[in-house]
Amino acid sequence: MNSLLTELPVLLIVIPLAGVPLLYFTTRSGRGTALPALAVILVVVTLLSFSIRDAMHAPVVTAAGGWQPDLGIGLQFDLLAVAAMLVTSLIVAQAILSHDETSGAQHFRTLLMLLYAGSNGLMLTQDLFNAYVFIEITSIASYALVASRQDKGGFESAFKYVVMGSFAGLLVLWGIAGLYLTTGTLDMQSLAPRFDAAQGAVPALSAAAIIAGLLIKLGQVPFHAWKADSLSGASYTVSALLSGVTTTAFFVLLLRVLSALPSLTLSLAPVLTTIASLSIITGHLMALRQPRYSRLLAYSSVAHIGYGLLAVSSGAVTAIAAGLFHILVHAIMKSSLFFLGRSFLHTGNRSDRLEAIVFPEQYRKLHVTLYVLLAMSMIGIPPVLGFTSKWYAVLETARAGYHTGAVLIALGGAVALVYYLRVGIQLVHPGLPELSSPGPASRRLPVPLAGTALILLLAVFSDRLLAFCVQAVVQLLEAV
Amino acid sequence: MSRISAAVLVSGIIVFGVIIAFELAVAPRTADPLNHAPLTLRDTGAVNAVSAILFDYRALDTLGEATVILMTATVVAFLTPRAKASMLAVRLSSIVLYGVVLLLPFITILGIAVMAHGHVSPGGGFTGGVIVATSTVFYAVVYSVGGQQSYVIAPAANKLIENTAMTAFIGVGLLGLGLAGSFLANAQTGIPLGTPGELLSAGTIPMLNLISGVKVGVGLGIIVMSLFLE
Repeated sequence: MNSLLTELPVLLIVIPLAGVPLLYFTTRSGRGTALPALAVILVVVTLLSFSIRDAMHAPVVTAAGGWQPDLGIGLQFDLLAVAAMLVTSLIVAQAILSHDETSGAQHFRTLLMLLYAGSNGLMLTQDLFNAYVFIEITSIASYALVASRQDKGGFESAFKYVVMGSFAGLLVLWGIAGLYLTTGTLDMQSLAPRFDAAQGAVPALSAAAIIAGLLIKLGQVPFHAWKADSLSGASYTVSALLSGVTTTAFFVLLLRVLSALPSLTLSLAPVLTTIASLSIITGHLMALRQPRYSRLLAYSSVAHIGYGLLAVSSGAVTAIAAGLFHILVHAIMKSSLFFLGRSFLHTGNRSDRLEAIVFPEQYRKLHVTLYVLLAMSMIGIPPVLGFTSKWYAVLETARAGYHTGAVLIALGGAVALVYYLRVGIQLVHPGLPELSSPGPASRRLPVPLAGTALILLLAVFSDRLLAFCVQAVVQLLEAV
Repeated sequence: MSRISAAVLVSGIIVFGVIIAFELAVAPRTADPLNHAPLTLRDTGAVNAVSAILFDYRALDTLGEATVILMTATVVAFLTPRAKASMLAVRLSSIVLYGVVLLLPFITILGIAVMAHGHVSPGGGFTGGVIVATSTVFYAVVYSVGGQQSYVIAPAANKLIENTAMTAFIGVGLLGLGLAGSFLANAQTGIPLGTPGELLSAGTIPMLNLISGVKVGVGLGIIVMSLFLE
């Protein structure tokens, strides 16, 4: 059992990978069900929950294949990984339940397993090149998922995504090569002293390239436009995955890279703060004038990741924890809002223009209630979890001395109120007459019920969740 | 974009690239990277240090890279273009038709040899896989002319092989987990490393070489053939 615990980080990556042939062999004869994919997630979540106690005690460090880092690859399972992976597992599970189209379901689930494996790897690895391999897996899976609608819009969005994603990936790879060349290591644990001893512009430039690549992947200013473009062509389920799973994974990786290079992070703090502030302003103002549901949500994501980045760039432990907490809460609520969008399709209406979206007749009140709760959470109105996470972000950012940033985060909510209210009014009083030919009526309860229930229930335990995040950040900073 | 601005952009990128390359070339190094080469023979029994790094020290990366190929094959097979390549209408000369028959066995054998000798000579699974894929793709392209489809391995069988190879890769990893307590462990499992330089040596490295060779060969086959076969 002891050896299984130390191998846990590898297992958390390999089990979803093994899900790919598992899905293939179990569904070769028939149409296939969602069960094998759900089973994989269940196994991962079970492993996670049984090992939280061990991770609280001390991070579980693994040398892959028995080779110590530098010779081989190091992986680390800590509270940061636990928290983020529990959130992404929830979103992946919801995505499997949400995807109810029969055509292409098999491919969808296969890609989903690959995305899951890749994002788990991103959050666990301690090796820069290994991280790049998982960036590749995660990115290619998401390009394919965006294109999986197989229409013109989907392909266009996927192409834009590929161009931006490859550019970001290239920056990261170039940075990794430069760092390896000058410091002679790929291991994040032993990078800091060698980085500080290095001379010349190349080490700092390389590290900056890695961070810039990750910021592009997160959709921060000035590379924010691709996010709305790629999310608007994807199906709602895929948009939920991209804004929930990949964003969380890249944010965790960014945290790991920043904490591996404390001296650089300190000197980059003003730059990060500026990028985060501009992202908050741009994201909210752009969201205000978007005519379509998914583009609006995408720009709102830009702003919310800006909140997280702003809190992180202040450098104080509690502020970083608050930023992490907000990013995780945002992943749940934003993906739930996208999953909610799937219900628009049940009215037979394919457009997601704001004046055309309507919830289906069945469970309309439930849908509207879910929307209101989620929107409250996004804006930051009590008593939902989005309020507390934002409250902590404002409080801790201000406490760290970033008063302008705290004001920006607080003001963002006021702008968000305007655009979420606009959508809400449309959803409560649909301006358009009912469509004459409703689509296939869904008897199933809306999927985001799970996510919404969670942000309502967990709000009670906000202080404990924040304490958990603080502990995770302390572990992260101590490890280096 | 006008021609002038394109020229400015391209020359700008080139100048930037040259500066970066120069910076990298003269960059002072804090510490030299750990040199794997003197260790590989003792640790893994592989004469080819590159193979030792790919399939032993950093085998997890290789599992990831092999996954990328599987994924790309899945994606291309899924997103098949509506208009397939139009080369099927071309009539090939008899030199091509008969030449391919003569060449194919040799290409295939070369590919398999490169795969099998990955741990003792340059090459390995990825290189050998590409060579094998060349032969299957070659066959399919040449003999699919005129509308009827020909292939060495049926597309459905390709997927079966690809997934079996993936399972086998993970299986070798689990073998290491079971015997030595770490996933993809090689020498620690107690598998004899053999005499360095011989075909049967280096523990799990030849197995992983063959498995990834099959994966790459079949995966590339799926990718290319999805573009022109129904």
